[in-house]
Amino acid sequence: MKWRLVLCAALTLAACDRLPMDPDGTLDRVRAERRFRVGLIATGSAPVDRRPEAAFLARIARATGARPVVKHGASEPLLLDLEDGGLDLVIGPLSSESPWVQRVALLPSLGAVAGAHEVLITPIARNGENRWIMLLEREARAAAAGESP
Amino acid sequence: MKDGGVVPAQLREPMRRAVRLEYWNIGFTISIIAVMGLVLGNSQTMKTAWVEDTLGLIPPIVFLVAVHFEKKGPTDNYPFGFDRVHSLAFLIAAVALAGVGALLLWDSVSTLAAREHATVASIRLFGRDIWLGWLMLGAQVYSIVPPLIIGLKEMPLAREMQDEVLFTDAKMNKANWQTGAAGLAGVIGLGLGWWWADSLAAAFISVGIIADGWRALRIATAELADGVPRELGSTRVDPEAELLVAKLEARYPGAGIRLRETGRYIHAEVRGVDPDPRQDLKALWPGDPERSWRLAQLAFVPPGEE
Repeated sequence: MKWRLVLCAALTLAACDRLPMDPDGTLDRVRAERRFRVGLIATGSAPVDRRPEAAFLARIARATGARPVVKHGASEPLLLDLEDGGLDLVIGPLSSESPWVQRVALLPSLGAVAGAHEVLITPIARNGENRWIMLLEREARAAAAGESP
Repeated sequence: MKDGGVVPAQLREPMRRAVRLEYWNIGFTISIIAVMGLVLGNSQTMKTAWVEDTLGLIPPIVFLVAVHFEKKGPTDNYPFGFDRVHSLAFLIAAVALAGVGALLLWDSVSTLAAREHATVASIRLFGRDIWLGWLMLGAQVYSIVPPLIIGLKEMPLAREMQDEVLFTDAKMNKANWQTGAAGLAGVIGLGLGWWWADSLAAAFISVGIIADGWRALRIATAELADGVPRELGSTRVDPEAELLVAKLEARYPGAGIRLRETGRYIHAEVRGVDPDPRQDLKALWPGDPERSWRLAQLAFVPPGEE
């Protein structure tokens, strides 16, 4: 009887480790294709320290065994591409008052753009891809805290 | 027997227990609202469950208010007492129950139609990244247990006291624990990548809640519009009322018999006969003598006055 309980507990714990899963399997695809598609939002003339972004992408690459394929552009087309599944991640400034806040998942910020108003450099993921989002959040927190990989 | 707005002796003990139960209900509901509020995240289903739990406070509060007034006797400005406050409380509780069902249905259908993929993120606790879904599951389990137990305890008291507000609150508790169970399935579904699971489960459950709310609204309306007394939790005429009509018809052949319900009490009117001074309402009650308190008044309308 005892070994059955132990087996049940072990199976439950193993199942727990599988959650959450991605509805569209983003993390599995990233690992299988060994690449993830990133959109970097242009910040105009504002001076931006790109080092946290680079550190963040390096951390994701290390955690997934995949390399980033980077695309630059304005926020609107990049976010539309993200929503349609054409990108796995967008990084850049996004105001908390933007209507996109409801349509995409905002992750812990990597730093701020200098200027009159503080705008945070935020990693942004497609809504609902919860396992992928969890990995991005973990790496974003570590990158923002300056933790060594 | 009821006397001048004072609660009948048979009801005092069950009413005391019901009041204590409702205080527990309010306390647990507030704690559930707080716990759920801490782990809401971006999940629309969790937000809806939270709003429902908040609406779940309405029936116990209106029950306590109604009981408070019911214990008062008539006053100069309210010469008939406050029994009808109970009917008003019932209407409010019925609207709350129907509202919960409608809100749940709207939320689930709109989520399904918009194909919303809910993001359930992670939080850092004690240096570890934990999926918020696990905390949501814990909160949902906590939100299921108190309404399940309190609802089961309320049902027999509601029957004993013929209390529609308490009965509706039991239904509200049923709605809350079922919504919690749907939320549980929903969070697990989200974890498995089935974004549609919780909305589908919630939509099925909402149909039952709306039916209960609609039925309660019909009974409350009948009560406020002086309709014939209804069976507890049903739109059918109360069998005890039918027996009373038969007994009065046999005693006063040719008279018109009218019954109406004020809160938990029945008021009878015999039309077309001269007032009969020899009345014992307790002896007149045709059902279980323990429930004879239900007949609160017998009035006569003489011939030519009806």
